[in-house]
Amino acid sequence: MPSFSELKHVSILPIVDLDRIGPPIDGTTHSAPGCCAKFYSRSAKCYDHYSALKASKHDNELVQCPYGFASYKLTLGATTVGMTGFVPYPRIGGANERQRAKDYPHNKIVRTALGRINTALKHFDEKFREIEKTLIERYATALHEIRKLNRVVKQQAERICRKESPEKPDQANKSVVRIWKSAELMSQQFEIVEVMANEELANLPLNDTFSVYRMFDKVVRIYKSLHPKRLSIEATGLDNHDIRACDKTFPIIATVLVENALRYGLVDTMVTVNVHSNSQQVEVSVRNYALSTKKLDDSVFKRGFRGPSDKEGSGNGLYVAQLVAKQHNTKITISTSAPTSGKVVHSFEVVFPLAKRT
Amino acid sequence: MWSVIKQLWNKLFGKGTASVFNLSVSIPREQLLRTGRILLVDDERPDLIDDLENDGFSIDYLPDLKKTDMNRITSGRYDLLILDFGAVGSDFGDDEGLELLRISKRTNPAMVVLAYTSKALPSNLADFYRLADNVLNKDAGIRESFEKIEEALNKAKAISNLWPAFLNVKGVATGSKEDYDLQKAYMKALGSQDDLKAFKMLVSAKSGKESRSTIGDVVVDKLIEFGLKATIGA
Repeated sequence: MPSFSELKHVSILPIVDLDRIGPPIDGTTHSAPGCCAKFYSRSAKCYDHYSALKASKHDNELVQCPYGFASYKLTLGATTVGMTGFVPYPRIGGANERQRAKDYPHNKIVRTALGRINTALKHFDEKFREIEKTLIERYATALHEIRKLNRVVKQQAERICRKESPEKPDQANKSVVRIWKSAELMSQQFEIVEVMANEELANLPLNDTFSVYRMFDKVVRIYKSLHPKRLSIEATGLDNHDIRACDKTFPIIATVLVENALRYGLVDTMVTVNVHSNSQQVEVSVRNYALSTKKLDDSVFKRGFRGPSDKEGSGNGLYVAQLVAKQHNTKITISTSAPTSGKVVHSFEVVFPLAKRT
Repeated sequence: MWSVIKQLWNKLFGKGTASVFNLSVSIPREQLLRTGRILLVDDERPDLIDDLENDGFSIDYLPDLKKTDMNRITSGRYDLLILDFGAVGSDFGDDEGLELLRISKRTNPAMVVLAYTSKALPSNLADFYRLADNVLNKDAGIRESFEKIEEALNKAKAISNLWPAFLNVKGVATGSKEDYDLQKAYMKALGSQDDLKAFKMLVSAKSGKESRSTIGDVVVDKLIEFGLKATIGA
């Protein structure tokens, strides 16, 4: 679905990304009023206005900004934007609004036109999704061939390692182990793409019993071969980590959480995985260090979300991981610590109920 | 031996529990590999077959299951079917491996099936994963594949698989009074030769669907073999 970076190119009115609030960006036919950037940097009033807009339960409801312009919220799939910087007719009222109407006559909009603007954006959203879905399906089909080649690489590398070191193939020739583990990582990525192409897979029944610790340990071992000094895992509490899980999708949660923590964590800082079990449940936390003092919120689980980072990413990993968590009757949550020496700790947590023993 | 079985039987009935699901058998790996029969169906022969054979697994390979091959399924020869999705099953319609899976599950419900594909299947074919007992990704590692296959063979020989399969071929609803009565008769049959004969007669009289009488006999034999080796689980 279109993210803000796509929507800003097709919005007629000035637009604000409500997930990453900043001054409004020009619309295609109506520019953002020049005073907006000035007002935005002068005080927190504009930021507070957009925050309140984001929190509003209603789309399309006109709200006046502290300086007299009108704004409304529009939700398109996972993207929430604010349309702003215009003066509606009929007016909302007030001296500020009268002044803005005089200063920016080109930004006066008849209220009935707003409906047409929204319809156009929604139509764009639908078409964008259709195209995206088709692309993902074709991508997934093409992946079949790549996956076959990856299988050859992965299994052949494993054979060489097993031949060289039958008892501990992980400790065979480092270069070959690296090839083997990289191919394993690629397999895990294919699984994510497959769920993207067919979300129905996140509705499959929980048909197997899995040890949560073993699953995370396996993923940590794979990544450790590529980042030897950045990962640690520990198990605390009771020894039983068995849960009911779907063997097709469950490994995705571990892959995405560990991979994201490594990718978006500060270079040369540790990522720690803790698996804690008590008599009722297994609790997993994956923690990394980040520079940003900006708190992460549930937006990171939206499809196509891209965080404030220059790191590459599809923006779909956490979305898929959350789908799989939901399939397992749970939810991934995030928390951010208070900053210390300019660093924060992001913690992704997920709790699974223990499998009933028969 | 009969006295031991009788003791177990008494223990079960002494607790007022006649559930067959309290029985369990632990099969050593070597025996599991020797006795567990596997059929792998894939249009392209995977190298994994050589790995499995070298490790001692009993595995047969077919590039497809044609109508003429179906006796391999209905005879109950195999404990485990590893089934590819693409380019197989053309004798049975357009749903490729999914149709083969449906037929296999219908004709031999005791056989465990691993869905074996690297294709990203669209929503309408997700039943391929749903109807299969488990998934073995085609690009799974060798050790990981061994583990999955051993797990599937153990499952095939477990009461949690055999009893529902037995009920299925006999046309008995799970959890019904008839199910309960059969469980009782089965547990009793493990106590003496006479009761065993009586159980066999009881189930053969209840022939179920005629076309599945062979598989019915195979499942009953497997059940009895299982029962005679069983110990009471925790």
